[in-house]
Parts: sequence; C-alpha cells; structure tokens
Amino acid sequence: MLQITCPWCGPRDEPEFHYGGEGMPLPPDSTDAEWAAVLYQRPNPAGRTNERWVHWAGCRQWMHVVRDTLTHDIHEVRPVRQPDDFGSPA
Amino acid sequence: MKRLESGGSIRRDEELSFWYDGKRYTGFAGDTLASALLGAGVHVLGSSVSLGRPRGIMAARLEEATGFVQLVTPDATEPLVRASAVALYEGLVAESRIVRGYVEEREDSARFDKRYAHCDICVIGAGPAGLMAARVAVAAGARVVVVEADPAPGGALLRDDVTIAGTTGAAWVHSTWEALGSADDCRLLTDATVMTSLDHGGLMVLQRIGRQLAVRERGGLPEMRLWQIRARRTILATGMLERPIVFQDNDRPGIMLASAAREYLARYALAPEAGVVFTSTDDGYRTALAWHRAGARVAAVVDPRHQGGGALRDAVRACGVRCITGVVEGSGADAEGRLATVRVHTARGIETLRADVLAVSGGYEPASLLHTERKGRTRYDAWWAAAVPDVPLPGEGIAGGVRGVASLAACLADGARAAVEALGVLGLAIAPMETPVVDEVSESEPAQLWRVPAPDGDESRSFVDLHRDATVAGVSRAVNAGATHIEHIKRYTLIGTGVEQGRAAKTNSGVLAAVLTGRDVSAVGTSGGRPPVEPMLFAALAGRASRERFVPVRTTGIHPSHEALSAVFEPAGQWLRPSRYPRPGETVAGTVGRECRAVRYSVGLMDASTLGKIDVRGPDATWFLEQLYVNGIGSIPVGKGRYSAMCRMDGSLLDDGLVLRLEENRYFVTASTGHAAAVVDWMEEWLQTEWPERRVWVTPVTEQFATVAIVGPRAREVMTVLAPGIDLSRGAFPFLAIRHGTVAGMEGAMVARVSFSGELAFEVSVPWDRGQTLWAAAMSAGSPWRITPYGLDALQVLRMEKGYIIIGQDTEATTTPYDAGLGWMVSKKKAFVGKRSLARPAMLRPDRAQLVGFVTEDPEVVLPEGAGLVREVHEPPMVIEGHVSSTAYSATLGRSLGLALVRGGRARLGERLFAPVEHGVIPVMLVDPVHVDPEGKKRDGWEDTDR
Amino acid sequence: MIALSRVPLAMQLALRVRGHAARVRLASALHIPAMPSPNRWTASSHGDLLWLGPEEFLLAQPGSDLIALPTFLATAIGPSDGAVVDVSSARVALDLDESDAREVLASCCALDLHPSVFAEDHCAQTLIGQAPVVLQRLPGPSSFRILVRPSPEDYVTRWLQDAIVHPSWRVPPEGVE
Repeated sequence: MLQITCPWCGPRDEPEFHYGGEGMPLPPDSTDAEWAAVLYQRPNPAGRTNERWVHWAGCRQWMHVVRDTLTHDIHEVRPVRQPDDFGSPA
Repeated sequence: MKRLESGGSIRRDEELSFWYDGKRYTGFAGDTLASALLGAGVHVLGSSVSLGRPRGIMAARLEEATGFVQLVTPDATEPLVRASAVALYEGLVAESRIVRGYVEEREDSARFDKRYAHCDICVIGAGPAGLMAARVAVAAGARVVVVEADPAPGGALLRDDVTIAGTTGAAWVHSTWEALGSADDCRLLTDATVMTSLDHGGLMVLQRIGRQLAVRERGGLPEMRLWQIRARRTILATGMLERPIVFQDNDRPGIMLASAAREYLARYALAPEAGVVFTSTDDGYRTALAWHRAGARVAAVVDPRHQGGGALRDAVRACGVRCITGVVEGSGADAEGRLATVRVHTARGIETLRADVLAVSGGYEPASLLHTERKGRTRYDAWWAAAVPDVPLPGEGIAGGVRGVASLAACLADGARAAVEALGVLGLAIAPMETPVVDEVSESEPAQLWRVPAPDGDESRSFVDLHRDATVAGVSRAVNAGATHIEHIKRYTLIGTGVEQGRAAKTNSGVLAAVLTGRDVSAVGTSGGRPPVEPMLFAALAGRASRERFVPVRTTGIHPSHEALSAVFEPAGQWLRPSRYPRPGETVAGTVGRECRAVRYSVGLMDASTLGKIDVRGPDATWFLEQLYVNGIGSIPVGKGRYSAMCRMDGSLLDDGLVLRLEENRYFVTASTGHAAAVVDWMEEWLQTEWPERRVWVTPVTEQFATVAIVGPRAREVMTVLAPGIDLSRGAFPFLAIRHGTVAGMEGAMVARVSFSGELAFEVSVPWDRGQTLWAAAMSAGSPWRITPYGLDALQVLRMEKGYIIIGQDTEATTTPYDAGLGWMVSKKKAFVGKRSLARPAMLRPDRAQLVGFVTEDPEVVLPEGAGLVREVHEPPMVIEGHVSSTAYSATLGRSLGLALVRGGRARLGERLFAPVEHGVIPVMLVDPVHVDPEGKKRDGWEDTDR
Repeated sequence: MIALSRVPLAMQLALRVRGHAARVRLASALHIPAMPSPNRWTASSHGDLLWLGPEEFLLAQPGSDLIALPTFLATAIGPSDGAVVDVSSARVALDLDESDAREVLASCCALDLHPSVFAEDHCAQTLIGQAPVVLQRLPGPSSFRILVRPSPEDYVTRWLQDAIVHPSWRVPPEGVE
C-alpha cells in the first residue's frame, strides 16, 4: 500500500486517494490521429511517471505525483494549485 | 530426545495437558507445541507428502519443513501451523497434518482483530542486533515498535552459552526487554511475524494472541491481530537461518538442525539419549558442548574439515568427546521410523554410530525474505556461501546476521550502528551508548559441504526439500529434462513450493543445480520467495472488517419508514435501497406490476434521496458548467432546470442528470446515485488543473437533502394537500420548473417538476433528517388516491418503458451521447469537454453500437440482461450484433420489453434478431426505445386535474 | 470507560473562500485572528471552525440555530470570493471520550493520532473503515469528535462500538516466561 504525502494533509494511506492517470498535455489543435494518440496512447514507462492523484477522502485536492513504477518510490508531490493563493499547507 | 530433570526456561511447576491425534500428553508452561511433543516422546509427527516416509521436528524456528500440525480450537481449526510457533497451553488440541491441512465449511466464529500503529523505527527481530538497535532508538526518544516472531525475545541468545556485559545472554535479554518495555512509546510485540514488508514503511504483522492461551484465559481477547504498521524507518534484524546437509536418508525424525538441537536443550531441557553432530561449521561444536555439559551422551562430532573446528573443537575434545574427520553418508531407523544409527564415512572406512539425535549444521544464511521480496539487492558472500542483502531499500536499515555479520559482538555493534543511522535520517538526537562487552571465541571458515553422495548411488532418498519430498534424484531429472534456470527447476521438482517456501532447501537445490549444470553457484542463485512469510488465515487478513463492517452500508434518512413497510432491499453501490414493497401473499411480479400501475394510473412515491446532489456556485459557475455539459447551460432561466449529460475526454458518456438554476450564479446539479463521487472528483479536477483562476465552488450536498418523488397522474392532488402555499397548476409550475416553499409544514423545501417515469412528478427536497416527516406526510396526503410506495424494481420498468437510460447500464465505456440517442442534447454552438473527440471519424461511423428498444416475440419471455443478439443462429462462433442492456416485464403494456445496444441499431428498427440463451433461442424485434407514451402527453398529468 | 455519544449540531456551514483579503474579512466576522491552517481547527464566536480544504472551512455551530448567520458570513466573504453553503444536515457528530479513545480509533482509522502528531487543535478528513469522516481532536487528554455523513453513521458506529465492546488492545502479559 502506497503512502502519499498530500501537500495539504501530510502522509496518508493510498485508500484516501484516487488515481487520476498519467498527466497529459492537451494540444490546442490536432489532427484526428494526434488527438487519438492523446486519448488512448500512454507511455507507461518502467521508471518515473508523472501521475495525478486526488485526495478524495481528505481535502479533495488534486496533485501531481512523480512515482517510479518499478520501485513505487515517490519522488515528488506537488499541488496542482499553488498554496500561496489558497492559504499555506501544514 | 528426552526431557532432562532440570534446566531450560520451562516452568516445571505448571504442568499442561494437551492432545495430539486424540491422545493426551503433558508438557510444561513455557513449552512450544514442538518442544512439548519432543518432551512427550512424540517424534514421528506424520507421513511425507508423496513417499509416505515418517517425518518429525527438524528445526525450532522458520527453517522448519515438516513440523506442521492442524490446530483445533473451539471456534475453528487452523491448518499448517508450525508446531514451534505455538506456545503450549492447557487443553491444546492438534492433529497430525504435516503437509496438507484442511479448512472447515462452517463459519469461523473466532474473533480477529486489526490495528493500525505508527512509529519512527520498527525493529524486526529481537535478537542481539535488534535488541541493541531498539535500545539505542529508545534512548534517543524515538517511537519504537519491536516485532519478534517467537514467544520470547532473544533470538540466538536463547540457545547459545555467551556472556554479555558480565552476565548470561538470557539475563541480558531479560533486562534489555524490561528496559524497553518500561520506556514511553516503545511497543513490544512477541508471537508476531512480519508477514510482508510493503511500500513506504508499511509492515503487515500477524500476532497470535488468544491462540497462545488456554481457552479459559482468552476472555475477550482476539485469537489473532493483524497489525498494519507504518514505520518511518525499519531495521531488519531477522538474523540467519541454518542450512541442513543433504545425504541418504537425511529425513528421519531425530535428524535436526544443530542450532535447533541447542535451542531445545537451552530452553526446554531436551537432550538426546545419544547424540551425533555432523557439521561443516565451527558452530556445530557448540551443540556438542552444550549436550555434554548438560550430561547427555555425545557419540561423536563429524566434520569434513581436516583443520576445522578451531577453539570450539578444542573445547569439545577437552571434554573427552570424540571428533571425527569425515562425513555422514546415511542413517538407519528403528521400527517406528525414528533415527537409530548414523553411518559415518572416514578416511579409514565406514563406521556406524548409535544415536537418537543427529544435529546437522551446513552453515548459515540470512533470513532476508523481507528484503528480497521487494527486489532488494543482494550480493553473493563466499564466507556464508549465500546471497546477503547488500544495498538497503529506501527506509530500510539492515543489521546483524541478516547482513552477514558473524560474531555476537559485531552483531550488537551493527544493531547500534543501524539505529544511529536511522535516527540520523529522522533528525533525532542520539544519546551515546556503549556496546556491551562480549566474551566469545572466533570461528574458522566453514567448509562448503552441501551434500554427501549416496554410498550406493541411490539418490532418491537424499532429500533436498523434506516438505515436498524432493530429492537429489529429482533435481537430476529436472536438469536432464532441460531445466537449467533455478525457477524452472523449482517448478519441475516443486522445491520451495510448500507453505514454508523451502527455506531449508533453497540454497542446497541451487548448489546442486550449479553442480549438475557445470556453473558457478553464484550464477545459479536461488528461487525467490514471496509473502506471506508463514501461512496465514484469510480471517486474520479481514480482521474486524467482516459482516456488518465489511463494506459501508449506507441508508437514507427515510430507511426506517421503508423497514416499517416491510420493504425488500437491495444493494445499489454502497446504498441499501428498497427494491419493492410486497404485500402478504404477493408474487414478485405481482408487487412490481402493482407498483407500476399505481404510478401510471394514480400516484406513487419513491425515496430518491440517494441521488447525487452538488451545489455549484460563483461568478463563473455558468461558464464552468458550459464546459462540462454537452448542452447549453447559460440559456437555462433562473428557477428552471435542464436534463443534461457530460462526456469524458474521449467523448464517452460520464453521467447524466439535472442542472437546476437556483440563482443567476448558483446551480443545484444532480448526478446518478453511483456516480456522485466521481462527478465531484471530475469537477474538481477540471477546476483545479485547467481553470484554477475561475471563481467557482463545488460542494457535495447529497446528504444535506432527503428527496421524495411523488409521481403519477394524481401527483398534483397529493402535492396540493402537502404544499397548499405553492401554485401547482400546469401554467404556474411547468415541467422542469423549481419552486421553494412550505411542504408538509417544512419551510424552505425545494420542489422540482422532473420525471424519470414519463408521468407528472414532483421531487421534494427537505433537510436529510426531515425525510421521514416528509415521507409520512406524503403517505397521509396521498391516501385518498391510495398512494403507493415503489422501489427500484418498478423504477426500472417505468424508466425502461420510456426509453430512459441509466449510464453504466445502457451505455458502455465508449458510448457517446449520439450512440445513446441523446444527440439532440449536444450543442453545436459551444465548446465542451469531449467535443473534440466526438468529431473523430471513429465516433461517427454508422455501425457503432447504438441504443434501441426491443420487444420479444413471445410477450411472456423476459430476456436476461447481457444476452447477446445475433442475426443468424448457427453453431458458434456467431457474429454478435449487440447485447441486451435492460429488460423488464411491463405490466402497463402486458409484455416483455427492453433496451439494447446494437451495431448500427437506429437504422435497423423493425429488424428481427435472435438471442441465444441457455434454454433456447429467443426472437426479438428492434423497436424505438420509447415504448410508452411516445408523444410525452402524460408528463403534465391529466387535463381534468389541472386547476 | 469509553463513551460514544451523538452530539446535536444546530447548524453546519461550508464556508468557501478565496484570497487573503476575503479570508481576513471572514476571520474578522468570526472574531478570530486568522482562519485556521490546514488540518487545524479553532473555536470562533459562532462555533468550531475546521479547515477542510484550501478554500473550504466547516463551521459547526452547536448552539441555537441562527437564521441570519449564513447571510452575514456570505456578506463578509463577498459574492466573488466564495460562498456559504448550508450543510447542517449533511454530517452528524459523534463524540468519543475518555482515556482509551485513541486505542478505539486505532482499530479502524489508519491515521497517526499520537498526541505529538495529532494535537488538540488538529482535525483531519480521513476514513473510518471505508467511510469518509472528519476527525476533530477535542480538548482534554483523549477526546475526539467524529463528523460523519448520516448515511454511513450506522456503519461507523458499529466499527467504534465493536472496538469499545471488545477492548482487545489490552494484551496479555508479554511472552510466556
């Protein structure tokens, strides 16, 4: 079971979070093929991935998580909204 | 083996009775079941799995391969329990089941507990390194948990004759344990096995509690407890396991590991009548020395090394014990199958020694499963001839024997080092602490002796894995059959596939494979282990999360009213909702038909409180909802609502619901019962990731409001009684309008004219805890029209008759609004999530699965949901044209009907398809999804009821 | 002895607020120096104020129902900087009192509630069993308030009652020596 350090609530167990998939940039203009790739193709690397998780059972905030798919090491957790604008985290 | 008159840590004044295979025996408090059996003269525990050879206790700890029993308790039985892990208690009942246990069909009424614990440092193993690490950590003020699998702490110190800090090992363990126990925030767990080490400092620990006590002493204690520990740092101090040596007939009861023989003596005062030691390490001599000092007869120590043994051999020789340079190459048994003779091969020839116990030491290797199961790195260590944990995993420290540290003094120092390192990472101040002084002898290099060839060449009695009856001959067959990789050999021979994972067999099988395939030992390696470390019960995994605590069962505020009406309930996600309200003697179809007719011809009421409700407000609320819903939002007037749907990025339907505009910048949005949480997540995701500057606030309010739907042509009459202050006339309160007012005496109630049945309907929302009041008032107000509560069964029929879909039932993961017949809803003018995807050619193909209605040719046959639809029936495979998503028997129409997703379906209305089901082939006709009232005349009620 | 009691709360308001200025206005209206930091709560003139999210606070008012309060607070926040949502019925309060409360919670809640970690001004949204709750540490040696949605109240109560009735953390003497 993973433990994810929510930028607002601190370390919490995985059941408090929902996985939001790998983060993907949305190209403003794209051909049908490019758009299909955005929708359906994921790099799924063996190593570091950029993921999004939401602390659904806690503060309901989304966050960026850099996780290693081989080791489960979590290298970074960032809030998607900068804390300065929304009060400061713990 | 026999029990000596004195010695050991057993309490001889407390005799305990126990039963093994129906016979009564006695042991002492402080015994394990294994030592009690040995003390009672029970040496043959059972027969081996395939060869039926007698087997007994061969170890005192995790190395055990054959000493397993079925433990019988009043509440349940537990299979494959290691006899050396069970503390003896009065009245213990066990059965001979050494390789195959059984489970009972009855419910396990035993209580299992689960608890969470947190600490700075979790020390795994209370041997010398672990105890030292814990002492240092506690002295620094860390929150510490120490986990020890054995009933008593101490590890190797419990069996070895050593002096620490001027006292015996046992005394040092006792005083250290006492000191740890009296510290703040130090939790000591014995009888507790770390079953697996999880990510980020997670440890799953199973502790035997009630199962280590006499039944009358258990009281309210749980049988076992599963600890879910989160440790900021772990220190692995699990020590080492001893390896046996393979030779012919090496499986007889009485042949055991030398360390185990010593442990049975030191703790339980068990000694041989006549013992032989066969050792390739200096450590084996300790067993001979201990036996001799306890007064037991030691026939000989057999050592393959010409110069081996060092100071320990000198000490053994000084006692007058014979030391032979040679090997044990076979054994003989008595009538019962117990060891009787040992056949020794020396340079001078063959000698047969009489012995009831043969203590074997083939060297030690780290007990490193908790490191290797997480792909922790190891290195091959030539001294130990084994893989030793190398680089620690994140958060992990490794101390003592499990790291390959040999001497006691070095293990104590290494435990302290590991604690200091962990404390440093945690930023805790470290109190200086001296490592206690130890008096011990240095050891010479072990011989690398794995097996002794069978004197007659018959290797089918030279056992590598005693649990699996796997022999040297079996490994040879595997290699000859082409298996060279150790994992292939494992699967061919089954070595290591027993409940004990072949801990005593792995290295020997790896070495054997290396020899047979002409490779280096380090290149072959050993097969991997996996959690849990020892067998565990599913009931222990579940802990308290069973029965009514298994999953949340959510009920609405009106639930007691449903119960009072004898409703039949069904789970809907986590919710428990009424399916129907049967009357005495009524059939299921009768109930559903009656409830449906009430709604179609008079009035029904339904608890709709589970509907997801979301408050969306802020200056950008309209803009925001425009982005998420496929239809126009800004054009909804204040005080009205709109049926809307939202798509995922790929254009598939996520959910549908009503968007009610309460104020200019304030919306009340509904979501399907099962999708409410996902829709909130979805809204937050877009707001937070894409549009953080937008001023919109989303608040889930599902359980703020109890909602009751009053539905049917007489709904207006009922509402008139309930809400005399609200103008309910068709002109004043049109379809999709919202009104606030007093309903059933409750001020501020919200009434919305929406419908999921096609009938005139008012959905009334009041605060959650007032739901029962509203329900009772509606029942009372509706009694002149025989108002009828209806459940999900009737709702399904009513909505199906109208072709109203349920997202997730009548849609698939790829179904778009166009596929579902909601294309009329999709705005051409604005951007929304999913719009780009809906323009992809694949989304516009005419042969996509589209929603249609169908009727069965035989009006009485109701198809199962999920049935496939084909054009032609022949031998499989058949081309599937689609599948049935919803079916029901419509009492209104007097026939079976349903909804289906069919390839290119909308252009195929009128076509005849077939549903091959279990009991035959059912012909169906594709029709428009709207079966009842296609013109929508009933939505506003009957003309004559209009005021 | 452990007591689990249901505490009536007359009014609960979800306070949504963005920006420093609006937070200051809201704090002033509630007569507190500042809005609470993440996972902290504070007593205000109108009840306990709990941090629920970067833009979300819960005001739990045990006293008499104040009809005018939502409008008063909404005015303080301002129409563009947040909202006040009435959630008075959306959660019920269960108080767990006396010395073993932390042990009871350790049977069903994964959160570290050690006093050095979860002090008297702490609150947290977490899970009891699988049900989401707001956990509020109350003043006193070991007292907690559990704010739970009404629909899983029975489920949460069963978890707590089971731990109270079977106080299994009282383990037997260590070892068997």
